[in-house]
Amino acid sequence: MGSPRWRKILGDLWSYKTRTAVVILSIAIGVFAVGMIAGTQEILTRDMEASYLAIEPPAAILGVSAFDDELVNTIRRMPQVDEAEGRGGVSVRLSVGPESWRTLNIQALPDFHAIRVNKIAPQQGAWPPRKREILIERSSLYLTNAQIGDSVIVELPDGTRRSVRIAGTAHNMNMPPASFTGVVDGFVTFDTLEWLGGSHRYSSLLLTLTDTSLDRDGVGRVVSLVRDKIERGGYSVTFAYVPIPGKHPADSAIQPMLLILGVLGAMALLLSGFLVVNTIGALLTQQVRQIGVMKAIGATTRQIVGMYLATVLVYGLLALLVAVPLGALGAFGFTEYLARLINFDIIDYTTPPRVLALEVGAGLVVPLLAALWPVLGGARLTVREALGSYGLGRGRFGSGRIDRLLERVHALSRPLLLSLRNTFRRKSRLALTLTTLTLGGATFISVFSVREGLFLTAEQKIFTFWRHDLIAYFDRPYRFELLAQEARAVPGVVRVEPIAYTAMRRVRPDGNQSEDIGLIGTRHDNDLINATVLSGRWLVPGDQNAIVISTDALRNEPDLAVGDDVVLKYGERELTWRIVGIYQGGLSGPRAIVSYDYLAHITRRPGRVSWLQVVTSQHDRAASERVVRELNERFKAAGIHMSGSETLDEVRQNIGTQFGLIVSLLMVMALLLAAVGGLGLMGTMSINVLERTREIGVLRAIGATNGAVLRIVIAEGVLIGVLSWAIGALLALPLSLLLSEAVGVSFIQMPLDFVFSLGGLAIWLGVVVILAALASALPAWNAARLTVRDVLAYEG
Amino acid sequence: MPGTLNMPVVPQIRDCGEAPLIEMRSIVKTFKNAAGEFTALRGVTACFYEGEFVSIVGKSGSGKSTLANMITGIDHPTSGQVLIGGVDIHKMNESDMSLWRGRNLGIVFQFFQLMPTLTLLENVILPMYLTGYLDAAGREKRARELLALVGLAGFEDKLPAAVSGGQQQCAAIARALANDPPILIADEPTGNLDSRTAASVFRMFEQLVGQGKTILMVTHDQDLAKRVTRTVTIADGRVINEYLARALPTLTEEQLIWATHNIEVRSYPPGAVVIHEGTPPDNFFIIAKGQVDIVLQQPGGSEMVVTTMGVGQYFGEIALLRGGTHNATVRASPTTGVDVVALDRDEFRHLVAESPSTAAAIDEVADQRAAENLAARQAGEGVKRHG
Repeated sequence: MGSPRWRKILGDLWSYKTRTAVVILSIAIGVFAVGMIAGTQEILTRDMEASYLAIEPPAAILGVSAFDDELVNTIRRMPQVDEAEGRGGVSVRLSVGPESWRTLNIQALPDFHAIRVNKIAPQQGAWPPRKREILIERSSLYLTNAQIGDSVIVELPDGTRRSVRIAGTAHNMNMPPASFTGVVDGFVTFDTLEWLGGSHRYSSLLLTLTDTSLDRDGVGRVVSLVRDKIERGGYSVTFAYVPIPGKHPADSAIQPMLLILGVLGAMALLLSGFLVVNTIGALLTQQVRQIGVMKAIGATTRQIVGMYLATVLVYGLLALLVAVPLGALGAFGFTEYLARLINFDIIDYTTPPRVLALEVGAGLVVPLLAALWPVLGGARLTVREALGSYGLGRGRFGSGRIDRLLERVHALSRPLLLSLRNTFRRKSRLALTLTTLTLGGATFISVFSVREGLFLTAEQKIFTFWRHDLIAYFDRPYRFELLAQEARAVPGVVRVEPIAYTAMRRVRPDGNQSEDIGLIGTRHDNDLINATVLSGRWLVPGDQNAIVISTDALRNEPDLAVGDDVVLKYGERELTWRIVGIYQGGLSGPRAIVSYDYLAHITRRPGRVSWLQVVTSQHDRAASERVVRELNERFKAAGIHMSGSETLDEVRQNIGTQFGLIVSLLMVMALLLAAVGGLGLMGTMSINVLERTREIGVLRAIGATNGAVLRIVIAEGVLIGVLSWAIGALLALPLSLLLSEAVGVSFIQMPLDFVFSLGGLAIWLGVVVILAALASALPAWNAARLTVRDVLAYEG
Repeated sequence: MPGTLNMPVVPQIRDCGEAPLIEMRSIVKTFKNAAGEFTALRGVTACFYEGEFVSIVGKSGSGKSTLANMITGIDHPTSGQVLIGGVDIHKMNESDMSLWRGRNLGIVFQFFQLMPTLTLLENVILPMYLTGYLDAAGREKRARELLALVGLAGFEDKLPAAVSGGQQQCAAIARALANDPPILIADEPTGNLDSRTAASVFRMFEQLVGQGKTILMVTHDQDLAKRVTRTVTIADGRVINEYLARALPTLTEEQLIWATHNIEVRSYPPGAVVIHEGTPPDNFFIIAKGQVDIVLQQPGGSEMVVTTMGVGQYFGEIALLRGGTHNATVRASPTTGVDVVALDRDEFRHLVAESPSTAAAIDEVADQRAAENLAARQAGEGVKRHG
């Protein structure tokens, strides 16, 4: 037989299963939150970085006029260069349905079996693709509306259509997710590229460097050397792009997300800590009489403290057993979801040691610390105090200000009065419960507010950027009059507006170049563009090299401000622009607005446009799609090659997907915090009722039916719930503001439009009332079913 | 010179006898609550001796459980001392006191107070484990023996909820005996039991006293209280003089309290005269310890011992009730001496005036004794000894 101490500890655990479950759950939820969130953070960061580095991401990408392996080898022999590889490419249209097209960006690789830089991995099907076959990037296959083995129609820039077989899928992590861009990516051999209208020579040079510790500036200096070498060889460098070394392109979006997750996770742990303090305090209260008896029969204070701390340790271990695997599952599930979204694979499923350490801390250290005060308090009670602690419930009522205030309330029925006053008998426990529930509720409501704020901001500031119903893209600039004439002939087209579009790269002061910035050339009074100007001004008549830059562009060029001059490179020419304003970006990549006339002039395409804004008489999806089909036919008949189109619906969908990611993260956290709060209430109510089992017996002895007892207890629980809801609603106001600002600035570089979610408020009220009722009903029902004799002799 | 009939003796006041096992000295216990202060014990002095079986009785709220708590150390006095085996127990800190209590006292509670999640065997082992008494094998062996002793052989592996209240109390007694303490304190041990079980528990206590244990039992059961060695009555926080209570059982609690406040304890050495024949009465006496001889003067100066009285009996009442002078001499026994409790004449008369039933009872006894004295004087009979 084991020692009586351990027998008592284990016996108590087993005999009071409800109480044991409540305590374990209280601890487990904190462990789970830590495990899931810290696990997600660690795995995402570790695996994303590892996966990214594993593909040998390019330190720089240079656009070079048609070159071959001779140049590649020359560059490869440079001491600063580790690897170099040439690629080719072309952009075509892919048929995804009847008169429905999508942009297909095709990359040609020199040798699928020896990819040196920006590695692409085979997924399914053939490897490498044969001639007239294509491998589709796995994340964009769904956009093709086709399967592996199907043949699809592609339209080349010159209008020629070819049938290409999808031979398989490949994976390249270094591409933006297709769900964000709506663009299909594919990989072919150079033979196929030529057949599809591309060149058999390379057009871009990918580099990795021998010194992997260089920062962006250091890489830029090496790129300058490389460029010089290329130009000395008689080639021209059309662009040079240097990404942030070692960082996945999605990193800047992921990090704020992880930060917010971390904050919410810390909050969940804090609330769980309150929960643990409350439940362990209540557990000790229930054990006070037994502590008194043990002291009466010889137990010293140290023995008592040791016994109960050991009990808490056992609870913690049991909680870890439950929560660590669940936390790992949660982390893996969450990370898988994010990984799928960002398009990378998790390579290591083991829980990082740091996360395990945090979980052990949450599961053992926090409960032990939480238990210390009540255990010491209970152990220090005199035997008389401990043995005299049972009777008609504990808790002092009558002396405080709140109590005297409550005593003046008479307009309620006696049972409801009893509920009201019972609520305030154990004030410290009530305070802890309210804190947990209030914080959980406030966060829950705030998340709903942020969600509504996100969508409101999108509606009012992002979706309203474009006032057209659809936009048509062309493979090259056409005369606006020609396009307008053909477009207006399509029934349902009400208005068209010209847009000149050109991509330029910023030449930074250190000589490096940015990624493409899309310049949208438009009339200054084009009301089909409704940008929110955040600082400076919009275009005015007479503007020439004025540029209004978007917040999306500023993300990568944070040094720019209104009034600055910015140098943009177009081909070989470097052009200086004056920043006159900054407008709210629409999550569509780095862009800027310039004068159509000036852009047409400097690109030497006066009167020509490459985009056409179209307004239709009907604005529904079906109407837009019909117009797109008819525009396609008309333009084709006129010898105009429309490379693609985008309806406003599609824009909403793409942005909605991005927002959906943020919202789903926040909702998971809200649910977790709601669960913590709810569990706190359940624990408190269970223990409140257990403590007052004798009192319930007395009530029944003096005439209260089971129903009356249930009503009194449930009313108390609901009262606590409603009180927490009211305080939480007040707290949610500033919290929503803070969270809206944080989420907005992190994701779209501006605070969100503030919305206080009445829906969230109502939902939380419903949740908390139901939780409170359920939490109180079960223990009250159990107590109400005992006979009066049993209850009055109750020694739980 | 003490011991002779005509010598006055200076009365001596003495609190406890020789070497009490438990000594309570002027214990005051005051509780503070929201309603104010409440004094549960008002200067209680009491002694308990080895091998006694003492019942502590009193009405609800009289302070008897509080008194028991002072002895067990479960609660602490506001002032006063409790010495057990010479140890001032309230000078120890809580932890030391717990350990000391576990080794020296066995406590039996009204509501059993067994650990609900431990079996009966484990409950009995628990105190031994806590105080380090015996090794593991020894503890289990002893626990089994104790459970067999209390009639629970075969029930060792049952949880308390699986046995009856009487069986739980028996298990609690076994637990109280686990560390073989010399003293058992039982607070209403039969309060929650039916009469048959209560009787069986009481028999167990008697057996334990017979084995040398000292047992203090708080009870409101007057029938049980009569079966013990001694009864200490508590009323309104004060210990009523037990001899007063025994001698004058028809007095109300308030009257006993009043009388307790007004009595004087006196000691007379062997042979000392307590009252002289022919002197006016000044006190009412109750014998607390020892014996007295009732002596009549014979013509010619000789004496005749009419009778001998012992503990609990009273004398001096005839002259107080009938008037006149004492009709006999009362002398401390030449072998034992005597301790008496004396109540002043006026106070005695006040008491009997307040209590007609007491007056009638004493009167009846007085009549009987007066007749016996007369008969003895007339017959010239020898010593009649009364217990």
